[in-house]
Amino acid sequence: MTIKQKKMQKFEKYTNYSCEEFLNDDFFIASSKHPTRETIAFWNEAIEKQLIDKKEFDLARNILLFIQSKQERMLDSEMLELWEKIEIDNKANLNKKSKHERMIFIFIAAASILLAIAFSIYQMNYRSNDNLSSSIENVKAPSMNSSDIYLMLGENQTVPLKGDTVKVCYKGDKIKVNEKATNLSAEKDVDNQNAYNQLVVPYGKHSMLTFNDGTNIWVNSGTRVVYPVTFDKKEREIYVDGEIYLTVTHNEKWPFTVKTNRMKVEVLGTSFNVTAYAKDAEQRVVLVNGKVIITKKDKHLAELHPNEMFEDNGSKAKIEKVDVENYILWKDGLYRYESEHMDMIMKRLSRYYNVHISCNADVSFLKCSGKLDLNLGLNKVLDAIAITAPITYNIQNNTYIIKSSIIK
Amino acid sequence: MISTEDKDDSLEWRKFLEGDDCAFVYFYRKYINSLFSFGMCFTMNRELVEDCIQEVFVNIYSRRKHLNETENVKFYLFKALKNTLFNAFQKDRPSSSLDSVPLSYSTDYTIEDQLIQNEQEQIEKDKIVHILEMLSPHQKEAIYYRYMEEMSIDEICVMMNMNYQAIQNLLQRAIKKMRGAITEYNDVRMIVKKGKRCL
Repeated sequence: MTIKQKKMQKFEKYTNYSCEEFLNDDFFIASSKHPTRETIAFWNEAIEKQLIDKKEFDLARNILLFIQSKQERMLDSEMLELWEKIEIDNKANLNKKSKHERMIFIFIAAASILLAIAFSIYQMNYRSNDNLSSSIENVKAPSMNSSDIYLMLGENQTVPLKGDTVKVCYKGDKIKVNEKATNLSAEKDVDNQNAYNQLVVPYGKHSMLTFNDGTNIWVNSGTRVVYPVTFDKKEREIYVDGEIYLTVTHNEKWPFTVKTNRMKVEVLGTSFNVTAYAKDAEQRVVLVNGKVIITKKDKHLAELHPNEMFEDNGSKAKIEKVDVENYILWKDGLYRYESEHMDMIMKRLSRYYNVHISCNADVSFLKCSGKLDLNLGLNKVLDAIAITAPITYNIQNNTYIIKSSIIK
Repeated sequence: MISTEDKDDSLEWRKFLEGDDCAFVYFYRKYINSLFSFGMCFTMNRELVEDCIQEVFVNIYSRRKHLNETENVKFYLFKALKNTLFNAFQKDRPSSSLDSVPLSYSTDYTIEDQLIQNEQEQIEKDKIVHILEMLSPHQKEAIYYRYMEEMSIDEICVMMNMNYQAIQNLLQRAIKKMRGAITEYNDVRMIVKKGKRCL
């Protein structure tokens, strides 16, 4: 069937429509209330070629307009005032609740101490006949709290790396940092078969990691990656708490596995993004090309194809088609948003740069679209937003305050 | 059929249930206008409508741990506002039952309208009001859901607590009535021009 025939068939449907029938038709209502170039052209053509009854059509349109003639509206200032009242009530309710919750908390705390004691007794007994607990997900996270990116080689040596974005590359048994050779050596604990290295990237920082096998990993802020000093001969295995984007070097005989605290992603060679902050409810895998298999406690969960996203929110898991680019732009330091509200944009920026940003209610309501180059730094990025949206900002006590630039 | 808008909504709703306050702001600014217009169809009292909207939002915020996921947040909010309004009406007039509170389009002119000096225009305006007044409160309410808020017949059934056929009949009769009245005035366009102006 040609497009023309299809269109004629659509016209045919409306040939003898009465005003009442038009008004009972979803397409008619939607296209009258929210006309697009296509729907306007469609109805114009139908009328011009006399394929529909113009009199009935006009009458239906008029009735629709007629019904909409009276609408009470709220002033912007009233909307804001009401919003403030709602916020005050919500805060008051929260305070009331927290008193109540504190009691419950004490109870739960007491219960969990008992449980913890019980568990450690159990573990002590259990451990004695199990010495295989040195798997990758059990590698201890370093306890230090640094604002710099740092490498942990083996169990004792930590190497802070200066800069907002740091490239770390394993080449042979040497480690290069930002393309420069260092005196760091990967095989620090040759005698320890189970030695792991860790790369820890705090909020506001980014890193790129290249392994001996050529696999590249972009590491987003607030992320910890654990990997063996040398990959096992049977499989390549890493652990992540946070967000990474990987391009895995293909090797059919040498599978690559990404573990998170909840799931396992197995691949042969592909590009994909894993978002799995252990403290967040949502964990996501987005596949750019190739194929990955996702398992949970050795149970097969899903097999992903390119442009698909697997999402597990803790209670439910689903797969959907997505625009992959939106999920991996972060690796190039870009952020794209479409009719996004100002407060959401600021939330994202605040996480990226690890600064506190507070958005006044009168600008939270603004909607913006655009693409930002986050490599420019927060001030330049905010200046760029201020050109297109009526906002201004100042800094008070390490907090960025975003306000309307319109003087009332 | 689930539109992308509904999908956005149910996603934001889930974020809200998980404790994201930004998602709460999202729903307020997205629906505050249509909720207000909707509320004003039941009463002329702006303050009462605002109070009820406040109650709806404060309520969902404080009960968020106990709320369920929903595919249609807009519908949920409308239903909640209608219930809250009726509860408020009943408090004022304990004797009246839920169904006896009529939904009435306000016949109050906006300020701009009062500046209309032309007597002819005023007459046209009166005609519009007159035609709308011919509809029963139930007809007006159904028409509002269908043509202002573009709800499906199924959704209107739940909003009005009536069955599918009854809603269909209500809408068909209302349209017939309006059609008859409009064609009675020869110059349909004149009236409509007026109608457009008060948009």
